[in-house]
Amino acid sequence: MIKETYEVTTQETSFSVVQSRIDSIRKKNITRTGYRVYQDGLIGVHGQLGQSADDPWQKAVENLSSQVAYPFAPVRGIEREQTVASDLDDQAILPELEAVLAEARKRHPEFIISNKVNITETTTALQNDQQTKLVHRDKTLMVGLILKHKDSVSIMDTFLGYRARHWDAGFFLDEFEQMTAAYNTQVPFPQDELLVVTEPDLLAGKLVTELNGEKVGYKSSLLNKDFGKKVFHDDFTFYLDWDEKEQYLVPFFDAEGTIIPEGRVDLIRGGVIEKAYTDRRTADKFQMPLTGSATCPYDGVPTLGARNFNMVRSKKTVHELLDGRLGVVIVMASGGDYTEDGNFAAPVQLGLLTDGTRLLGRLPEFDVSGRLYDIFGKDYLGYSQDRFLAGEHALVVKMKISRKS
Amino acid sequence: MYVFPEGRYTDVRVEDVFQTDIVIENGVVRQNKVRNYQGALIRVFDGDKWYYAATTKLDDLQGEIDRLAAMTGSLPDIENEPAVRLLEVNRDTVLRYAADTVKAIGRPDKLALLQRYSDICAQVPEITICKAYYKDTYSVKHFLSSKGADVRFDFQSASATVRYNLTVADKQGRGGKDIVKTGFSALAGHEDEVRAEIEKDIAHTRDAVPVAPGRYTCVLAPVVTGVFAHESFGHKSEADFMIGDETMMKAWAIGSAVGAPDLNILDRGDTEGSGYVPFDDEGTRARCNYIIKNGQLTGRLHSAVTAASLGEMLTGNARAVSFEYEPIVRMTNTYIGGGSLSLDDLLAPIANGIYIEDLHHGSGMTTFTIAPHRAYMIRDGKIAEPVRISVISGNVMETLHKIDGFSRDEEFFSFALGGCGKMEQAPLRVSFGGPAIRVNDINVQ
Repeated sequence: MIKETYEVTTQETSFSVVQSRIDSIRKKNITRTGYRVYQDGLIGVHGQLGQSADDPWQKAVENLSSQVAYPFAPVRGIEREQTVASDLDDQAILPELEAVLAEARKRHPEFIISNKVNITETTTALQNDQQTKLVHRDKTLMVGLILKHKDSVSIMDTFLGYRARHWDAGFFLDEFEQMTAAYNTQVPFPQDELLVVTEPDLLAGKLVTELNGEKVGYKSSLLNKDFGKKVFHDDFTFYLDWDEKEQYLVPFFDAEGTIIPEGRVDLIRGGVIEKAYTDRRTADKFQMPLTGSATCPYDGVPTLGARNFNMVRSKKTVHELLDGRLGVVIVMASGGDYTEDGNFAAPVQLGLLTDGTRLLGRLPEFDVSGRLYDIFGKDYLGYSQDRFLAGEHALVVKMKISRKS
Repeated sequence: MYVFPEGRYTDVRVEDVFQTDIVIENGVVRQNKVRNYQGALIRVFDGDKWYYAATTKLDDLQGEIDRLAAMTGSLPDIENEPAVRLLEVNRDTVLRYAADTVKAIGRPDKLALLQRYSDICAQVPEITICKAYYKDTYSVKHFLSSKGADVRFDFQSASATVRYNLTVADKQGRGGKDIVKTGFSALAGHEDEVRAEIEKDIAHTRDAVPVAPGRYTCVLAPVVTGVFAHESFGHKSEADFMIGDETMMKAWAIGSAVGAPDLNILDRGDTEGSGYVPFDDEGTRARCNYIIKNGQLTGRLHSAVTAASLGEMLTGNARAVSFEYEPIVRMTNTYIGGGSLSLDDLLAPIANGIYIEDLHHGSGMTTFTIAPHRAYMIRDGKIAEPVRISVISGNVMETLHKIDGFSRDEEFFSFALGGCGKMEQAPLRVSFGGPAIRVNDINVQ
């Protein structure tokens, strides 16, 4: 019998902002431990959250009787510990945050700021009696603030959101200034064609769904017929990414302890669909390459799932990708979705006009739509070199923009 | 029980949670586990800021209280701080499910039940992937406050769910069926409902054509109505979006006409369903809250802070998704009241519209959205060919006035695998429902 623990500790300080002031502070320090035993092709798992009089290993052994098959040997003989560099200080940030909120109130009293600023430190550790000890620590600032104009009857008018491992009051205020200034400047729709500038998740979620190894293996993916074919743009490469500069709170190992030495797996390369993402079970069942994409709650059996997707960046900035044309930054497009056959549509609650160097103003609400194969195919312009969107790179594509009457 | 610090308001919410989680994937058991844990959230308020600590160290709650108190200032007259003054001091025990808990059912029985639903999918050649989920929860919350509140109450839910991917004539589709009840025994005997759902999804996948985008009169089935009520107006009625905001208070003044004259929207935590909370997470007793009555705004949903800020009454809507979070204003069981028409009556006057039978998800701000699952054209008053739709949307302020028909039959729903998301707290268990409704001028893409 092989024994293994999978432990996730979350330490968090959370600041709630109400009416542009810090209203509350929440402290959390929670450890969740999954005790795993492997025997005769079966896995038994027992989770422990908090105090318990039970012997967790005994409980895990008892759970072997659940007959959950797991015919894979746990990783062995790997010891690696990584702490991602972060200088965030939970104690020091409170006065800093209060100061920037005071400055924000002074500069733009017409906006009511609310919601959360969190500092989260996660330690993920996988250890077993096969000489494996993998530990990853990451501490991240997550700013997620709702900005509501005092004259508006909306729940939220715009949003200030970003992640970082370093507190920078100047960055916060610059982003706040750009966003509020753009929101306060109403502009009409230009007559010329507009390009879409957005964070990638809005449009790439369908790729994540359809590149799921299980879905591909069972021939249930929209993309099945096109594996090995070049169906997307030459410049479009979509990959699993373990680069700590691009990913937050993503350990270098997955829930099965798989490590991808190169720190990257291309799923779509140069427009060609090459791979689905897999955990060990999926890779084995469908004879696919293992991509280190197992996930699970602390007390679960590892299963297929991933969130560390990325796109290869263009050598061009947003300004260069727009190439003299104007773009619309999609700030809020809640509720949009793809149909099963890959047609995307969404109402855009807030779009900001841009020339690729700055935000020029707020456009009236509109709808946006496009087809998956076109968005990342003939209509794909690139993923920007510069961090144009609140410190993140921006996807630039052509889409159909329908003004509301 | 605890020594609460002077000059502060303090409360302690201890949660004891039992959960079962079984997953069968294409006939093979992938998960089969029980989770049992206790955790607590402590709140200390000094009249200026709230301080919270989430912990699993139940033998050191006094220590946590003391450590939080050390971070705070104090207010000698804290009992008269408006929000504190408003907080109820209930002393009660409501253990509605204690005599028949899911804890008492063995996992082999739960697995066998789920296997029956999984087996239905295995017999359908069009289903390429089937995942069947059994989930149950039995939780007991114990709430104590420095004002003297002491309430203990329970909640129970059990569900069997199938989710499947389909390939029909080279077209991809998906679907599923949620069976959500308050006890284990009620989960059995729904095989025909699952089969009927699969048949509908196969036909829709095979026959649906892309919709012609435009503005349509839509008839929403009860499950869609429920999500529409939740997204279109429920979130708008959460008063934390309103405090300190004069514009919102004017726009949403009590008594304003905000919808069609026959429109009633209610939220109540005192009835069974996923949103059942006999007491909220501040110890406030649940009640029936009319948000909209006969088209007029009659109330909104509150925590103690928002009710005090707006000078309104408590509603029992301060809820946290788990012991790791502080309560914020959330919905419970939210629904639109029924009318007098039949579904045929609703469809009859529509020459060219859309019937939305089911949905994937919804969202709600000033613009609400619903991503339909199965939708059909309405032609000359009859449900006609199936269509594929990405999203329907509308402006909340306008759309509620454009409802002009309500069916007499109401239905209530809970999602087994999801819930409501707000800020960092998701998924919160809620239920929703209502009649079929007819809504004009909806944007369809």
